[in-house]
Amino acid sequence: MKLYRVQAIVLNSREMRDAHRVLTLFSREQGKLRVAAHGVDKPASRKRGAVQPFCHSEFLLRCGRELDSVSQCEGRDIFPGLRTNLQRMGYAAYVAELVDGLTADGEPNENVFRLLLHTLRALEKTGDAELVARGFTLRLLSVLGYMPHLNGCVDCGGEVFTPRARFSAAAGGLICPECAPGIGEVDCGREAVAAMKSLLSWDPCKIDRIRISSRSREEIRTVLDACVQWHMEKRSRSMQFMEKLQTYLT
Amino acid sequence: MPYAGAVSRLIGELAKLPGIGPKTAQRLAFFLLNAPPEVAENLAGAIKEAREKVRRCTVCGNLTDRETCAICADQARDKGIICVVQDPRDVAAIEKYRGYRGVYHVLHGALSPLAGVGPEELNIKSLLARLERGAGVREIILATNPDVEGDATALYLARLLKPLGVKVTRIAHGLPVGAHVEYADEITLSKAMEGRVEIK
Repeated sequence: MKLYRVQAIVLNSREMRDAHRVLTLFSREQGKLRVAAHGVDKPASRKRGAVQPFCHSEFLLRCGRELDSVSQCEGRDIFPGLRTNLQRMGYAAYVAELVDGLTADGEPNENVFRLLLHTLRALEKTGDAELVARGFTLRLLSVLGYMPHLNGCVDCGGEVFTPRARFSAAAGGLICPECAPGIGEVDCGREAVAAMKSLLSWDPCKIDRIRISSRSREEIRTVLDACVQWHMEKRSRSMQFMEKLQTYLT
Repeated sequence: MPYAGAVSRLIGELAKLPGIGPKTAQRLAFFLLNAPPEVAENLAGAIKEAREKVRRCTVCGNLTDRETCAICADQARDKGIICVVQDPRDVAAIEKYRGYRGVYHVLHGALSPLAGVGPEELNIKSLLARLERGAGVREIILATNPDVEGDATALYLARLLKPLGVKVTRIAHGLPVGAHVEYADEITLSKAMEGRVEIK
């Protein structure tokens, strides 16, 4: 019976028969892992608190035939602030979904781990969860090598603002009218591009100080959604959830 | 599959049930085939009857074999308090303790940001219709599970219901009976501290 220790953030948790769950973890030591957590839905379970989604916990895992399982665990950061605000919770689910969707199993990445942890800490306290999540998306794309090209046309390097630019997720960045294939491009203004550059360089804890117009916010959302959808090959479920909530609450 | 058509079909149907693998399905099929004929007939009859008669209560969404469930039809129940739960099994669990005399509303699920389950997939519209229709609702108790999905559902319902002028409360969270403080997590302990009560 081999046991090993990891420090990980819970990205997702789904039911597996009765009171058991399958957890998707992003660990510092081994990257993305799927493990079984037995009996954690029972009220008396000692592991229950530390295996909740978005928790940063220490895990002692036991090697199994198909899935490894949680032998012991202890929460380090439980992020209670994420569970008392619907918007923060929705964006926490979004950042967890991006890490789950854009990383491969068993490939450790210290930068992604630290970025995720830092973003969850920022989300817990921020006054603008949307901007923190957008900043995270850009940084994650950058760390994983998918950063969209935002300086000139991705194809010819020429000027893109005529006066507004087009963004092509398939081409991987801004594109000028001559190079644009005319399929699936989205509109993007000068202010939105400048804001994306700021989001990429600012500390997530201070990102809510950036002032961005509602039009540019919408453009950033469209650009990043297109990018994420292109790389994950599907639309983000949590982003769809946030859209549904907006529809129902307004 | 090395069995005759009817046996093979029975194993196949049993294997569709949750938590039943091919080996268990085979064991159950042979139990039914070797047991007296009335065992299989009673089981088939019970499944058929339940599927035909059981439906959702038109008021609260709980499972019932009548138009309205026994709880909604009970005149002794306080219709001014509605306890909102995720699942019909939660109604059974709360009823077991016999201390609650209000009525229920069953959502048949919970909002899930991680799985993308939105409000339109839950039995929420009928709750709003119930509040608009039935005067005298004083309190809504949100008894969803204390996990991410349950908390999201409670936060959403609170935002939806508070503007209607009704008192919205959430069931208390804390240490379960028989638990050890030593093993409790940060959230549970903070909730337990918030909800502490004076010993009389």
